[in-house]
Amino acid sequence: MSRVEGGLEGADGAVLTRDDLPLAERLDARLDQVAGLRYQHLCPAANLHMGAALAALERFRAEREARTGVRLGLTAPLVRAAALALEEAPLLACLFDGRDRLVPAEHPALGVSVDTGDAARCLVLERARGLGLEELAVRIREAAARFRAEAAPAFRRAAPGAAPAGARRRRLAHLLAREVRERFAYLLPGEVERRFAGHAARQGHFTVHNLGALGVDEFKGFLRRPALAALWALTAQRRVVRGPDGRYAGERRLPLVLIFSQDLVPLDQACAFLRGIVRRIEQPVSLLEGAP
Amino acid sequence: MPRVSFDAAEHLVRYRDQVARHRFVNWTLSVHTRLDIDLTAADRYLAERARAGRTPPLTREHLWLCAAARVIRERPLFNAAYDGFRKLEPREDIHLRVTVERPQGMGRGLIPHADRLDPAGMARALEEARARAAEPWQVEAPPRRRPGRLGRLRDELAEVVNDYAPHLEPRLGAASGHDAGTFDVVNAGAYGAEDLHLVVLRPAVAALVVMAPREDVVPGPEVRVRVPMAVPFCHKVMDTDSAGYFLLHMQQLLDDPGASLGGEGGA
Repeated sequence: MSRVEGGLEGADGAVLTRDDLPLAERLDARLDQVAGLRYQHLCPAANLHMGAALAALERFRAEREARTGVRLGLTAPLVRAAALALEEAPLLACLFDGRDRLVPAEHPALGVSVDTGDAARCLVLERARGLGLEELAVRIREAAARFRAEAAPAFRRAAPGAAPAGARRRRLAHLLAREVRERFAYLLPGEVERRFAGHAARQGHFTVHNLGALGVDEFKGFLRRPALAALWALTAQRRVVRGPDGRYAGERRLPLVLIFSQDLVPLDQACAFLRGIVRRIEQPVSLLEGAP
Repeated sequence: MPRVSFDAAEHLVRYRDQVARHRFVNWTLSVHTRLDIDLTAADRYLAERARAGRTPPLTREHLWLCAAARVIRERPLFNAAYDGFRKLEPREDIHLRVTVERPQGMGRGLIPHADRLDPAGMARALEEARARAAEPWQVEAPPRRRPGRLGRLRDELAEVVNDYAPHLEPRLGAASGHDAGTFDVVNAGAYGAEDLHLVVLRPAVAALVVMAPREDVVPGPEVRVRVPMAVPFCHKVMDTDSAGYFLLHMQQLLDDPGASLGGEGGA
């Protein structure tokens, strides 16, 4: 696409004005996202990195898959490890309005970001702690297939001609109304709790994202209220490490990033939570703990 | 494993001041700059000192705290207080606010006049800081928060005004609040962190974050001990090269700790 007088020239030679660029259409569809990412709605997010050795999990997975016939993948063990670690760190499954309401989850729902081929969608697993490894793997795979089938059509170029009259004014009004609703929701009785319930239903109390499937090596993110933390896994890397016998060998490690709210989650608790996930990945038999 | 009991209401009451400190108007434009500091020479120095039976026993932490205080003395911008808008005040004294490990969990200790300490003095000061450490939720001077829904509404409106017209902040009766000390050092490596991106809060302009050490095999082949250190800094008052030079200066001091961190005779 190149810049020409009056707009940009697309690959097919048609000149696109600002109002019919696919990007403008995309932004319209994401107005709420744009408004929600204003500072006021973000956590002061700290990004914490740790790595987990994958050798034991790979052996465990191969044995288990041969026995049960269910392909586990990496996301299911990761979700299971997070669900178990949340038992020891219930603070991270709380929802927080940024000031006065901190609501714990009795049975945390986990949001799992599922790859649909060209986008990710969130699968919410209610009472995730009670789901075994195989059940998790099956549910994630089924959700991916379902989401792919339902995948929204790609953004199309707007119909020729300018945007409908008043579209810009409507967009501005929508953004302002949203800003007022977000900022002053606490003035309406029960509104904050309703929002928390909506968030839990859409994204769970805690979300797990596996960016390794996309080959992502590095990541730094923000976190939007009311969530207090979220977990990202990146592409596995090979590193030379010294073993217990003092000899050096190559090792595959899974980089993990925990984003947590710096105001309410103390660093030592965030680290203990992430270490809990690392420990479970490195000692995968513990993933069977309390399994149905 | 039994579920850990957790009282959300109590937690929120404890962290009330921290939440007020972390409101978005206090965030600085925090940029993360990291350098993997080679501590092989520092480790050799510590081993020689231990073999000679010198006391008090020293650790890497004492050395890098000394080095950080020396670098801040050379680069006073890192010790300044910034109102987030147009007032930047240099501060003469260097008081490090450090994370300390305790049986009951992480605490925050204060090492006053850290730039005047040699490593042995730093070891003693760190122990004193540990003994007197504050809880992680404590804030020395929290910003004012009005109680009740109406109070919250007034606070929110003040924040909206402050967002668009920061010069009106003092007239609105709002203030950023502040923590003890003049410069934060976070030993995240003590808890296993391999990297940590923090949000810096005004009036601080930067912090030092120290990660877990690791061994790298380098061509030779030989093994080098490296500790990733990061300086998140406020991009409004400095650029990445400032933080880079801060870390490079740390590396130079830690390459020869015996000669460079001698100090002024300890505490």
